[in-house]
Amino acid sequence: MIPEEKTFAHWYRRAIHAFSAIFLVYYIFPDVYWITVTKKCVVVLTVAVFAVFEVMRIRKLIKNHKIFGLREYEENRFGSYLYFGIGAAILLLFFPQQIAIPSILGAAFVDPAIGELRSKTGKMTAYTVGFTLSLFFFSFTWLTAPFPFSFIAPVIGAFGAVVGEIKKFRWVDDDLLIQLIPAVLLGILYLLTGLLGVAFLPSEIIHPLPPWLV
Amino acid sequence: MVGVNMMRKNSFKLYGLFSLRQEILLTPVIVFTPLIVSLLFFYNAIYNGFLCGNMMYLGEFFVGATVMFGNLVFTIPFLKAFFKLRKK
Repeated sequence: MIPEEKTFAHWYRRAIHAFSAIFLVYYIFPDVYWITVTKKCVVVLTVAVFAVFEVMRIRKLIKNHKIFGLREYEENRFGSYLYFGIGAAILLLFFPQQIAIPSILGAAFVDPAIGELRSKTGKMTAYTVGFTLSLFFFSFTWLTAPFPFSFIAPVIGAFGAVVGEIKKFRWVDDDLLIQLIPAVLLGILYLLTGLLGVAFLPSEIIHPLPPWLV
Repeated sequence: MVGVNMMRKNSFKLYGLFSLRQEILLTPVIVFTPLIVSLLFFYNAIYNGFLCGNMMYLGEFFVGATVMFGNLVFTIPFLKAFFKLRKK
C-alpha cells in the first residue's frame, strides 16, 4: 500500500465512523401504521445482511474477501463496522431515545476523535477530550431531566463511553462497548428509578415528522 | 446479433461499475447522506419549532448541527486524501 492509500484508508475509517450518526434518522419516522414495523425490520435486516456477509468473508466464501479499510486483526473476526451496527441496533430497538441518541453520537464522533488525538497529543488528553465531548452530548440530551439526574446521568454516560473506549478485548470491539456501556449503566438506573417510582428520563429530543408527511 | 452485442456491451458496462473499488463507489454516499439527514433535522426544527415558536424542537437543531459539523470534521480530510490519491 502506498502512503497516499494508507492515509486514504485511515480517513475512510474515520469518515465511515462519523457517517454512522445518520442512524438517528430512525427517530424522525413516526411510530404509526406500517412505518413502525418497517423501520424496525430495516434495522434488523440490515444487521443480519452484514452479519451473513461478514461470516462469508471470514470463511473466505466470497471471491474478493478483502474489504478496504479493515484492519489486519479484523481479518479473521467480525469487522468493527458490524459491531457498531449491532450496538446501534440494540440501542434503537430496546433503549429509550434519551439514552440511545448520546450513546450513538458518542460512538460516531468521540471514538474517532479519541483515536486521532491519542496519536497526536497522548492518551491522557485524548481521553479527557473524549470525556468532555461525550459529556456535552449527554448533557444536552438530559438538559430537561429532573434534578439531580440532569447532572448525574451525563457524568455516568460520559464515564461509560470513555471506559468503553479504553477497555480493549480481542473479540469485542470498542465500537460496541462505547455504545453499550453508557446505555446499560443508564438503563439500570432507569429501571431502578422506575421501581422506586421516581421520574428519571428527560423529554424526547427528536420528534417524529407528522405521519402525513412520510 | 445486434441484441447479443448490445447485451455484451451492457454487461461489460455493469461489470465495470461493480469492479470499481467499493471505497470510491461509497465516497458520494459518505459525503452527501449525512448532509441530507442533517438538513432533514433542520427542516423539522425550523418548520415545526422555530416557525411555530415551539422550543421543544431545539433538540432536532442540536442533532442536525452535530451530525453536520461532526461529519464535516472527518469528511474534509477524507476528501483531501481521496483527491490526493486520485492525482497519484
